[in-house]
Amino acid sequence: MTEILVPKLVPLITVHLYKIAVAAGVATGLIALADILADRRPLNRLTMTDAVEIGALALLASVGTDLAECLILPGLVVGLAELMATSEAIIARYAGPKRPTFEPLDMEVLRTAPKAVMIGLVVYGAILTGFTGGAVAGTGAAFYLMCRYVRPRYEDWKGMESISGIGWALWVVGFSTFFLSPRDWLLALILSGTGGILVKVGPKLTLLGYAIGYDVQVKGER
Amino acid sequence: MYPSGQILYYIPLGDIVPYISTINAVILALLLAVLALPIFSNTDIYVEVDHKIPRIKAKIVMPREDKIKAALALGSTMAAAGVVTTGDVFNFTLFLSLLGICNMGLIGTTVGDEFALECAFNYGLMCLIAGLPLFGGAALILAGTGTLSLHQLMHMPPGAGGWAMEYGKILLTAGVVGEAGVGPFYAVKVDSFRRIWGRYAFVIHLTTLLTFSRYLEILASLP
Amino acid sequence: MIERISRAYNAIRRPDSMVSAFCLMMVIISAIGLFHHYNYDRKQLYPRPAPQEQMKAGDPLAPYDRGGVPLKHPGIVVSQYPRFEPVRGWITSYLTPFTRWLAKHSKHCGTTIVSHPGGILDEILYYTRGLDTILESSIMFAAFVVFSWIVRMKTIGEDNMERERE
Repeated sequence: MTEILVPKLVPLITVHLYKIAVAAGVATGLIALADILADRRPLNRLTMTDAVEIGALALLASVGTDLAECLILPGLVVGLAELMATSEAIIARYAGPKRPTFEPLDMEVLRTAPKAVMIGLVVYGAILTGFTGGAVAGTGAAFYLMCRYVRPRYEDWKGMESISGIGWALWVVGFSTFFLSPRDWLLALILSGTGGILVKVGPKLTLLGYAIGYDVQVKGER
Repeated sequence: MYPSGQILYYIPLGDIVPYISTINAVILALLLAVLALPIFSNTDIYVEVDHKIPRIKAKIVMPREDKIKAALALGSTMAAAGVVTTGDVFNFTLFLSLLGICNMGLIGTTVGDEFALECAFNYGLMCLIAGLPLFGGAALILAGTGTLSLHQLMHMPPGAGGWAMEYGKILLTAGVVGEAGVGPFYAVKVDSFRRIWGRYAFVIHLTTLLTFSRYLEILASLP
Repeated sequence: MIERISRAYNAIRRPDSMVSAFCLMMVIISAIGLFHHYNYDRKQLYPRPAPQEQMKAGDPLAPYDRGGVPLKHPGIVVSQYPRFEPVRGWITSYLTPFTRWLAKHSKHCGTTIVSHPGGILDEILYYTRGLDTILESSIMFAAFVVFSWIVRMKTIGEDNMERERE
């Protein structure tokens, strides 16, 4: 019975897949790096680095244990975070204060549908908790706010950064509880879970606040 | 016997066990001394002399700019302290990533300098690309030997892990070279680091160099 | 000789040439790595059964079942330093009441178990390798600080920001 839950040795099929996965990861990296080497345009380089990250994730995933599945998460987030900061640097370098203008979409469905979608996603995310829940709930709230015709200003979003800061602090408290008093592991687990959901939701909403307020200039009435 | 000398102290945090050995302690003390220097120096006019065309450029740094640079320099130093004391290969790569993003921020937050943004963009690209060899190297070491902890890897016989281990070491070296800036790439990184226009240029130089000296110790302890 | 070296250094002095030079090095390294046999140690930490094995056995928590009864028995966790982890395995076996209800009434809750509190992934992410996850969110914060600073000072500009506030 324990053999089906946790095997003593890694099963053979994983070992066979490992060889293919390593070759795929290295090949992905090779193709993307050759493209970066060949083309000097900054935008192309920025997009191809994402492909390089996929090669790194393939190499991490090739190990095929539970540990590998957990190592993918930091790898993914690190890549995304650095991509965000780097892309903003290039926007500031080449676009500058001249912002593109556009006319917002005004459709009936964009006013009515998002409420249902938002409620569904937020409730589901709250049930899930943790990282995935944070991603789901944050997507729901972001989708709802993006579809609104009358958009909130940056001033309405000001507290959002501190939400994710509180989440991070809860998380560190949970982590230290695990080692300082191991008997309270359940409390630490719940603290970490709520911290995780807040850490994910906060930055997403703040990002939206920045992006809506400033990155594009809405023609006509805001 | 560890290649880094006697282990003086270790902190058990589950699977990740950071430790302080003789060499680590020396590097860590140097690092904290480096952080103390910009704290106690508070000039706010920075002067650059161009030797080809004899001219002098001066810049007064705003308090706001100085504040965020202080925060990022603190992050960078903390990340370097983590790099120096960590006892796990994957944790080492994550600390390096934190170091890279803080350094990129130090360059990119300079106000009134167009070239700084371009430097920051290219530095960020380097950090992103270096993610592949860093994480890939850690993954190959895990696959080849079945562990990530340095304490375990030190006691393995030489040749354990085979080609996966060898290639993992090559990849890790490439990643550290990209992220921390050594070898031929340092020539241009000096140019980028100068765009900081201030006292924190010192922090970024020495954190990257000390990171590499710590990496040499890790390389010696891998089988 | 020194002249040649300095000419080479001048050639990679521009910031975008730095990226090209690094990519050239990486292309060579990955080309070396393509045609080799990579060995694999079958004694890994945190092993998992073969794909679809638990699914075929009809387990309701299919791909992530690692044994144990919630709050009664710890699950099976093969970690690096068991002596530093006194409550190892309890998080793996823990399920929230809602998840317990779901597992009893559905055969397909295994893929959502990863996102509830409890389960093997939470054990690794929060407990045994918790420092990694804390670092990961710190990296996210550092990137976010840089991002928002550049947006406020460069892309938008301080003046426009003041104007918008009024």
